[in-house]
Amino acid sequence: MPSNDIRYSLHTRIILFIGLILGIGAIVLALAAWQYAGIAARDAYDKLLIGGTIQVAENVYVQGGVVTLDPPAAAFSTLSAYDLVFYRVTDPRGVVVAGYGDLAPKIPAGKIRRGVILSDDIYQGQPVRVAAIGKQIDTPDGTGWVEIVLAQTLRARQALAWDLTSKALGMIAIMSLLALLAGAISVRIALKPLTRIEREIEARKPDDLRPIRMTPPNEIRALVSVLDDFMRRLADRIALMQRFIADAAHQMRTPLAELNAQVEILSNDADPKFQGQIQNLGTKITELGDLTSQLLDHAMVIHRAGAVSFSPLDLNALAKTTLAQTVPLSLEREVSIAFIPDADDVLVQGDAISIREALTNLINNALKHGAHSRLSVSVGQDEINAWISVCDDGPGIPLAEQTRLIAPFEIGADRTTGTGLGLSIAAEVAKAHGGALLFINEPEEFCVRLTLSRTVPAL
Amino acid sequence: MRILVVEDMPDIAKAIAQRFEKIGHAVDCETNGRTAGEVLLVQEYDLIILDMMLPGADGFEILKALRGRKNKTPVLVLTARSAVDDRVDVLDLGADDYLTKPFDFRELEARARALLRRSAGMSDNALHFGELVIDQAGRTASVSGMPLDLTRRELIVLEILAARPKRFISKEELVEQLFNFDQEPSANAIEQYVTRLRRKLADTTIEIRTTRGLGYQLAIK
Repeated sequence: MPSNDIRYSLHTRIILFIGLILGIGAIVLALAAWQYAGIAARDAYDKLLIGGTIQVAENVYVQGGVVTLDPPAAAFSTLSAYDLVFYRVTDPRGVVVAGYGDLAPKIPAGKIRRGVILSDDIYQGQPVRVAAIGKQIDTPDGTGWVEIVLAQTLRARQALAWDLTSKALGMIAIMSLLALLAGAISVRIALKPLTRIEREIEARKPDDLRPIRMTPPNEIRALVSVLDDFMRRLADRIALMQRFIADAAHQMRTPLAELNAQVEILSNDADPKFQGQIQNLGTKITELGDLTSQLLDHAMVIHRAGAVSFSPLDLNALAKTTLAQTVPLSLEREVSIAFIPDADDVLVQGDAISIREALTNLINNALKHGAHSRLSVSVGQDEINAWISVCDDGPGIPLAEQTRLIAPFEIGADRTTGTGLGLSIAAEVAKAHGGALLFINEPEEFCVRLTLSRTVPAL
Repeated sequence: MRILVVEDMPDIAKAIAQRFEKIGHAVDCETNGRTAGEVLLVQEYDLIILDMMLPGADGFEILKALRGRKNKTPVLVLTARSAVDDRVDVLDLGADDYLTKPFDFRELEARARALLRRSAGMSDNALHFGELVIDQAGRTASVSGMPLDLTRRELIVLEILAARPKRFISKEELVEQLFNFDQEPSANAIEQYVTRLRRKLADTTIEIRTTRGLGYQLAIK
């Protein structure tokens, strides 16, 4: 699932949706603004044009029997500030007495006698606004209507309309951006609880199945409670399984011990020719016993990780007693045992029982698969970590095998014995203590190092 | 020596008894916890092998009662519980050693022998001879603070010699102490252990002397 696909991002989806609505709104508003600005500019300039036309009409009079215009300079200068202004005055006979003869409005003569009539036209190749008015006048030939026409190009009104529109557009743009920003911020705020839940779950150890700590907002309370419920059921299930494994292993110990006793009795009493087989039986029972113990240990170590609070302990003392207890007194092979404590006390916060179990498994592994003639357990520390190393003079574990062997039930390729749980137990314990299980291959010896963080907080 | 086995599984008790009787110890068996507690009030033993899960009274109670009376008889605990189980540490309760079931009978024998050696007069768990110190609980030895890397059998030989430094210890005595019932005893092996011990003690103030006909003796150079 590509994470940048917008279909999977609530954030992007909401922002895109808000953006789309705002964009359409802005276009509609811009068109409306353009429209209103055009109307406003036309109305404003029409009033001037009407005023100018009336002034021209007032300056038309009869002199010597002839209709005459005395052009009103003030009116013309106002109208022609940014535009070209054309005019025409026609006497009752239809003779043009002033202005441009070819300026002919397409206005019925009857209408203009009632007032100023406005219309749009094209004159000399330019769009113009035309105003026309009729004026009744007495001439020596009798009473007649003089027709006064004024035309003005549209530059000033267009400039005004554009000016108004661009200001409105600016406002719209600013408002849209603010709205988008507000949208983005509120989406982020609204999604914050989800991010916090995500972080909380992400920061958890894999076996931490406690309910989510943060209080969710109402909208996602149901989601969080379903999540909590799921984790609780998972934890119950895991606990049940571990309990079952532990109980089963525990229950198997007593019959195994009895079986072992039978073998012991048999080996004392039976015919010497059966001794070889009896010994094999004994070996198999011992292996079964080891597996049972380790299954129990594995379940318990995992159970204890996170469930048991750590207490201060001295690794020197713990390693020494564990070594003494673990190396069998009846060990057939002659293996030199060395214990090398750290010069200072090695104090860590930890679970003594799990660490002891991990170390027991490492020592048993070394005795079973590694040590030819020498086994040493050493304790060390630096600022960050403390560790117990179990070293032997055996063949070690090849680099390629190391990761695999930490997984449960993986055994070395060339080996037929072993449960494959020892390293897994040790690795789990190291992890629970904020450390790791390291393998150190050296020419003379092979070491498995159980490191524990010295700063791991008590659970 | 006299050993009490408190174990309710008859086969296990029988197998333990057989093994220790064959190496010359007297073994009493008890299957009930309460009866075992009563027996311990009247009878002294050199070693008690104690199962934890018993009818009557469990192993914890017996151990607590025993140590409550300041009785120092070594106790080897057998438990079906794992070390990682939530439980009181039997060693804290006063047990001297423990084995988890199912256990190896040779290991039981070796541990019992170690406890019997320890009980022969020692008050604490450390054996001192000159600059030699043997930590019997920790199963380590050192000379003037320098640890010796010893195998288990070398440690046992040194321990036996150090326990009775005035005495000569015969090869036969060492053979008897060193090998389990079901192992082939060998006087040659003893000589090998002593040779290796001498090599490891070469740079120290401790030496092992041989007196023909009498055996080995630990001495200060």
